[in-house]
Amino acid sequence: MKNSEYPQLVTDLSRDLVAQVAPEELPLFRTISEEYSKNPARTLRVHQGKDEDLGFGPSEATVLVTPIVLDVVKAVIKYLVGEIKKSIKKESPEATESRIKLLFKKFTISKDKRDPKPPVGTAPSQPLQQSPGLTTEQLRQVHRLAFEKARQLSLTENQAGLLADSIVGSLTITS
Amino acid sequence: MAVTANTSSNRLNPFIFPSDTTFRFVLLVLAVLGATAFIYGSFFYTFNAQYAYELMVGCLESANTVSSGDPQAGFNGIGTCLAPMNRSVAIWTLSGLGLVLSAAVVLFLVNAPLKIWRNGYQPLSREDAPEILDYLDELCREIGLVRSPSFLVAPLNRTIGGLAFGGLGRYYLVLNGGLIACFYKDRPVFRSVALHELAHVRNGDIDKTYFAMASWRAFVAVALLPFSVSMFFRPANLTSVETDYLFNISIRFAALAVMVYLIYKSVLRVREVYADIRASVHEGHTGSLDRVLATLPDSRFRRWGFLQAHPSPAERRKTLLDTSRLFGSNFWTAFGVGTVVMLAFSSIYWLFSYLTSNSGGFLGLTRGEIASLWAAIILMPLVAGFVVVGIWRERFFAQVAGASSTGVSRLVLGLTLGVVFGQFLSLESVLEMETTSPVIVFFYGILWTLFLFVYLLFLVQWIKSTASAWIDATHPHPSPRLVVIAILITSLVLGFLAGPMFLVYTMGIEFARDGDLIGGIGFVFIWSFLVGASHLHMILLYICLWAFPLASLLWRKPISQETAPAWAFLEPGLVNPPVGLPSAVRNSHPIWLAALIGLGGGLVWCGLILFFYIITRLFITDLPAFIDQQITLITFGLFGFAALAQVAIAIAAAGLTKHLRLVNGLFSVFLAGCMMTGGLILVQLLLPGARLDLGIIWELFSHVIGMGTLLALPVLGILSALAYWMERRATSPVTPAPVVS
Repeated sequence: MKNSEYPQLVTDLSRDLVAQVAPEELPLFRTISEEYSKNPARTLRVHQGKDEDLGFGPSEATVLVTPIVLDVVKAVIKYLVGEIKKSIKKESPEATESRIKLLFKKFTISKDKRDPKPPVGTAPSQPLQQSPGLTTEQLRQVHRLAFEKARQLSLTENQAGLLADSIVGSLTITS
Repeated sequence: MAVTANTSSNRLNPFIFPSDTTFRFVLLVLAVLGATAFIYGSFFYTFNAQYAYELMVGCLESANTVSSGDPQAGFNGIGTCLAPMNRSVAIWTLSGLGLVLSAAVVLFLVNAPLKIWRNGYQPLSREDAPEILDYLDELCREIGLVRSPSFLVAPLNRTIGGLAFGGLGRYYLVLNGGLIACFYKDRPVFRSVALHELAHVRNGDIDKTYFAMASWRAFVAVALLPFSVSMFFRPANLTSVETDYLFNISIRFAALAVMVYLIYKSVLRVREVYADIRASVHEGHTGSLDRVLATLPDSRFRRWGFLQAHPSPAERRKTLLDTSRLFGSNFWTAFGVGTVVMLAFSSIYWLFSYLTSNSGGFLGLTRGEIASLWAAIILMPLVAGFVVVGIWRERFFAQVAGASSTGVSRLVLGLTLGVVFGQFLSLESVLEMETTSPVIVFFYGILWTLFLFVYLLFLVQWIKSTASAWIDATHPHPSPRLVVIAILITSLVLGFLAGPMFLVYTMGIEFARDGDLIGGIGFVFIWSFLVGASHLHMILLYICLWAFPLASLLWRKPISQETAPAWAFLEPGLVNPPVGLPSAVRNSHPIWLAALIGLGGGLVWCGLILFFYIITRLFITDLPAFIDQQITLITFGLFGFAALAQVAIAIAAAGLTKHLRLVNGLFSVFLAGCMMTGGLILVQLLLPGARLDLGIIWELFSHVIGMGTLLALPVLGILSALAYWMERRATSPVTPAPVVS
């Protein structure tokens, strides 16, 4: 199984989202994302440990948001890759990754403030503020996708909504 | 209910005494070894059935021919003839023990690295969680750990829990993903759970737990599975004797396996309670541990709680709130101790006997006596530890918490039935069933059980009196180490008392096997009163029985303040409640009264003996000839009269003194015995042509003291128990409910 088309991108974006929706899980983020990159399905399964008999006691499992965020972000990126490929048929993966990055504020506005150079693979003549962005319909689609995926992975409606909102909030919109 | 409410009422400190985890761990190891000895011993007979049968038949026939009516010669002949086979059984048994122990050690050593690899635990790095690591280091300091364990993380485990493991000074603390998330969301919960896991390290139960686990697994792999497999590969055409043998072995084997498993689970359960309490002391007044426990699912504990590795959350919360639940005695633990000790006793005794079948006695003790003494010395610290700590806890609760004394009948009954069950489980009992008269053996067993019950009743009452005296005496001094000293001394006492008991049982049953019940009982009586009771070590033991508790008077200081000592409580900063016993009782130790009764009674007895002597001189002209003719009657008459008089004196002393009845009774018996010995020496000097040397003086002294004390022991035990029962009826005791086993 191919874990992710752009694993580093998934990790980078997910870390920001975890910081927003479940900051208490940040100490776990590195280890969980490493596990996720090795075996996403295993990471998403509910683990209660094989040594509960010798641990504190047989408590109920809580929901860890981090694996879900990673999986939702992966799904969103997959969707965005599909959208990009609709318009540009042939492009290197690096170039596609750069285009995806342009869709996220993290890699545009904030980065622009530190370094005005455009991301690799983008046309130098194209100003960053005029990044392609997503249409309202596409944003709506991203929201729906993120929400449904998060719900499917057992997040509550509130948490799923918050995650979907955060993802949409992190994307740029067509100017 | 939160612990905050509890802490304000000042909980008793269970850490003054060695925890039950240690006892149950030792019990488990002994159970594993005892069961393994049983299984490997039975392997020998299973795989060498034909050889063993032919050898036994041959030895019996040759012994009958050689002995020509001399039972002792016949007995010795059988022993010599069977020696090669017995040594083989011993070698098989020792090999099995070696295999199980080696496997347990290996499993224990590889456990930690294997666990880390298998579960994918990862180090909790400073890069990821600097704040959490600093906080954990701080918790380690708070709970009193000199060295922090290595912190690991189980990132995918979503439960709010953790796990402490490791061994030999290298420990790990795993924090589940769910718990890490709590660090920022609910810090008190994180703190409580982390403290609970660190408390396992602080309580020193990690090594015990994981060695217990390794022992259980080694037992399954090296003993249980091979035995089960061997049961399936049997010839189809078994004789009825072989079928009976296999049936008897299988029943015992199943019982042993179940027992080992239950003890293993009880080790896991009891350590959780102590970890909870340790954590609650350090968690502050948040009640968060109680809150976490309240969230744990309770349903799986409603049935089959004894198979679980944790006490039910409800039980944990109750004990957290009221630690006095750890101060009561538990029938099933006592039963387990009795069973395991008897099983192990039997194995050690026979192993020692088999391995030394060609050697002689030592220091006047026979080979059998030495074997039983060794077995007792090895095992009695466990029994003593369990009984002493159980009773000391109960006395401590009664005196410090201001509650009335509670009964120890559960403990005595559990121990007695456990010993009987242990005897039933032993391999020897299977072999005995092949050759004995079952009805007579059954009745002998019942009589022996009654004898054992009374004997244990005395011992328990004695330990209770000793505990009372010493707890009372050391009241102003924070000296919990005294318990350890008490355990050592009581171990010696029990060791010297239990060794002969087992020997008496083993030899008495030889008569019962031949259908001679009266002979068996007679042997027990004669050996106990004429041989065993007058050995030097037994006399020293009898002196110890009253000297050790009365020595507490030397430590006694005037009570200046009627408050319990700070070390008695988990939260010593709070106001300590007043001690339970009124000072009038605490200060009254009528040792002088017991001494007076003993000396006075002894003097009266001497007067009576002198009177009889004078009467005899008046009416019998040739006294030396009369004594020669009636020597047995006179000897038994004098010693018997002395023993009965000592019992009467003991009853008077115990009845007239309100405190430490049993100890005072024993003290008066000893003093009376000394006086009586003096009287007998005087009579001996008056006899025409009689000689007197140190040997004769020792014989007189040891038999008077030995027989008198041995006869007084059960009487005093029953009397103390009755007195306690009557006192208890007059008051309403606050009984500490036993904690979940």
